[in-house]
Order: sequence, then C-alpha cells, then structure tokens
Amino acid sequence: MSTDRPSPPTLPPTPPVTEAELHAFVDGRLPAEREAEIAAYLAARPDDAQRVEAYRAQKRELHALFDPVLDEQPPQRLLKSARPRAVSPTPWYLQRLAAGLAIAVISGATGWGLRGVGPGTAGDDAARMAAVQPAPGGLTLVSAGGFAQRAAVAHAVYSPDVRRPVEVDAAHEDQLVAWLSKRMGAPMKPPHLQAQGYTLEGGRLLPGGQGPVAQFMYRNQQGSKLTLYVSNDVADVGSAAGSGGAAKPDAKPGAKNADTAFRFAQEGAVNVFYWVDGPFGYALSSDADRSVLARVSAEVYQQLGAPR
Amino acid sequence: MLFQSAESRYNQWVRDHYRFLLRSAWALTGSRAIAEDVVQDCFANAWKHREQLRDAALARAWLFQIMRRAAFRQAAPGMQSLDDDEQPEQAAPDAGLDDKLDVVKALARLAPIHREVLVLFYFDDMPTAQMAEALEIAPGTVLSRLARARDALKQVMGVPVRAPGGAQVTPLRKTPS
Repeated sequence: MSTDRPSPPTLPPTPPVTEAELHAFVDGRLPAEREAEIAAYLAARPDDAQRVEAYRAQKRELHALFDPVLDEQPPQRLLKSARPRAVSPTPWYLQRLAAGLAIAVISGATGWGLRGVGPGTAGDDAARMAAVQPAPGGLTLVSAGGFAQRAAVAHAVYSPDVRRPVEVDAAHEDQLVAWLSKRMGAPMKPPHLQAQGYTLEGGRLLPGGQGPVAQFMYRNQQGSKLTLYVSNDVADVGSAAGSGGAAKPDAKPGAKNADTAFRFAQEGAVNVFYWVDGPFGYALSSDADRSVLARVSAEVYQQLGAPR
Repeated sequence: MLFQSAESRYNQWVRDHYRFLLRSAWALTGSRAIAEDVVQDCFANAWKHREQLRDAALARAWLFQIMRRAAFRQAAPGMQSLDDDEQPEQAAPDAGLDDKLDVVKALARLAPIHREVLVLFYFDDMPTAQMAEALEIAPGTVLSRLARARDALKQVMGVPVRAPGGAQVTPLRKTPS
C-alpha cells in the first residue's frame, strides 16, 4: 500500500491583518470578502475583538453625548451677523445685550419683587438711589442703586438654579478665565475663597448697564451661595454709592476711576457689599450675615489687588 | 440656483453646518459656552475670508478648519498647541482605578490633534481627503493619526491599549513611547 497521498490543494495564504484594516473594519470601509476574513480573525482573538468593540463604543458614546445639539436651530444672530458686520462693526457685547434682554426683563421683575422687604422699600427709585444712611461698623448703608441692585438680582436669579447655576463650571476654571477675560477685555480671575469657607462653582457672562458683566459663583458647605459681580462700567456704581462711607484701607491714587469705600446694600434677603477699584466695580452678594460678607469682601479686595 | 449672493451663501453655511460645528466645538473645548463663542467667531471669520473658499463642496472642511483654529485660540492657556508634533496625552492619575472617566473628561485629556481627528471622524462621514483639508495635514496622515487617537482615548478611559495576545496586529507606525 502506497503511502503516497496527493497533497491537499494549496490555498492562497490569508494576508496578515493590519492595524489599518482593523480600523477600516470598525468603520465599515472594507470589501465584503475582507470584512468576513477580519471577522473570522477577531472571532479567534477575543482580546482584539474587545479592542475593536471599544473603538465602536467611543463613537456611540460621543454621539450619545453630543447628538442632542443636532436638534437645535442656528441662532438668528448668526444669520444676521453677515450684514451688520460688513457695514458697521458692532461690539460683540452689544449684540449679546439683545440676546440678554430676556434676562434683564426677568431680572427686573425679580428685583421688583425683592424690593418689598428691604430697608429701601419706601419711596421711588430716585429716593432709593439717594438714600444713604450711616450704618454700624464704619460702613454706609445705602439702598441699592442700579449696580448693586443688578448684582443682587443676578444673585437671586442664578443662585437657586440647581441644574445650571453657571455657564462654565469650576472644573474648567482656565477656560472660564480665558473666556471672561476675552469678553471683559481684561484679566478676570476669580478669587479663591476656600479659607472663608466658599468654593468656586463657576461663572457666567451677563448683560450689565452698558456692557458685559462677569459673575462668579461660590458655595459653602451648607449650600449657601455667594456671587461676585464684576463690571467695567462703574458710572452707576458711583451714583449708587453716594458720598458717604468709610475710606478703603488702601485706595489706589491715580486710578482711572475714583475708588470708593466698601458699600453695603440690601435687596430683600440678599446682602450686597460693593465697591469700585480702578476700572472695575465689584459687588459681592449673598444671604449670609453682613459680618460674614464684610469679611469675605475684604478677602476678595485683597486678592484682586494683589499681583497676579 | 445659478446665482447666489455672498450673504445668502453665508447664511446657507450657517444653516447647513452650525450644528456640526457646535457639536464639534463643544467636544473640542469641553464647554458649551465656549463652543458657542467659537462657532460665532468661526462664522465671523468665514464671512470675512469668504473669497478664500474656491470649491463649495469643501465648505464643511473649510469651516471646520476655521473653527478648530478658533477653538484652540480660545482654549485655556495651559492647553497644548496645535503643532504638528504629536504631544503626549496628559497623565490620567485615576486611569488605573475603577472610576471610569466619562468620555468628555477623557477627550479633554487627549492631545488636541488626537481630539480633533476623533471629533471630525466620529461626527462626520467626510472623505479622507477632506478630513486632511480640515485638519491641515497630509491625507496619508489622517488614518494613522486616527488610529493613534483611538488608542489614546481608549488608554485615557482606562482600558489597556494593547490587550494580551493582540501583538499579531501589525501597527501602522511604532507607538510613540
């Protein structure tokens, strides 16, 4: 009996699987025949199959997170931006002010509601703006004018918001700083107030009296919020502050705008300390006691004045 | 339409590509607010330089190119540059733990060139040549960069890049050490 047997037919060797082919397999970019070969290859190699599945999962997760954007309509301001930009360049913040009109209306309504229980309840707006009363502690109690009232209203509107109290959260503080600095036209770095018991939550941009306003939000362990409102339109800060009050410990001579003392105002349950330092007006709002707010205000003032 | 004014062409870009650009910018910057600004800047620049787009079929890639520049211009100061050199991914101190990073945090830890190729590839079925145009790289680089970006994302998300037994797959290029 012969041991010679015909050789089995020789199949052409399957070409080795390359990394590029695995990726093409994930993306469905292979010819059907090669796709079947890769599928067989992966069936015998669970580790590689797991890797391929991980690539597919990346795509699924990204789509799951960001696809809701696809339901949104382009904002009208973009469609309209072509014509005005070509004819008369409008500062971006004035365009945004229009978008912020709704916020202002809401804020005004809220502010009206807040007026009812504060010390400045009597009288009309003019009287409220002018009312300056001596207060204990060397501070001046004024009924809040435009600036402090807007700060208080912004605090009242946004601090209870659970879902989106800030536009950019503290986890992205660098981005927040870059964004607000660009929009405000000056470095905007939030003070760190952990020593005072408050942790930065994030911040947002708001329409102010004449331009943009930055708002930083903080929270303490009890959940109480504190907001720092920063405006580069200080005209109405001065008008609200009046002429009284304690001198600031180290006012800066020669600053572009006359610095003011710390001022205290109350809008309903919201206490506000506010002051002018150089080109900026600052307002710190919270439902915390005035003594707490004064302490935090001093710290904010120190940090903002320190070389950064 | 035989004739379309520059303005209506621009508005068509907004209608056609706003969502794609916003979604991409959000994934690139990690911030919805910043993404909105980036897209606004993108369209403003597109309008300003509208004559540069010679082929209407490349509008999407061209807008992505403008958007990515705006995204990294507005990014945090510490963000890595868009140099063509591949930067190492940022260290993921908890990558070895069970705490699985969500994909947004993971994206943020990728080198920008990896983040953008993933975003572009996953969000748009764009031909390789157009992806190269959008990313301002050679067409031959697109797929190899995508492969490394996928591995990088997988690594940052805490999954081993090379599972045991996976060495039989031929890498396109030696993985940077």
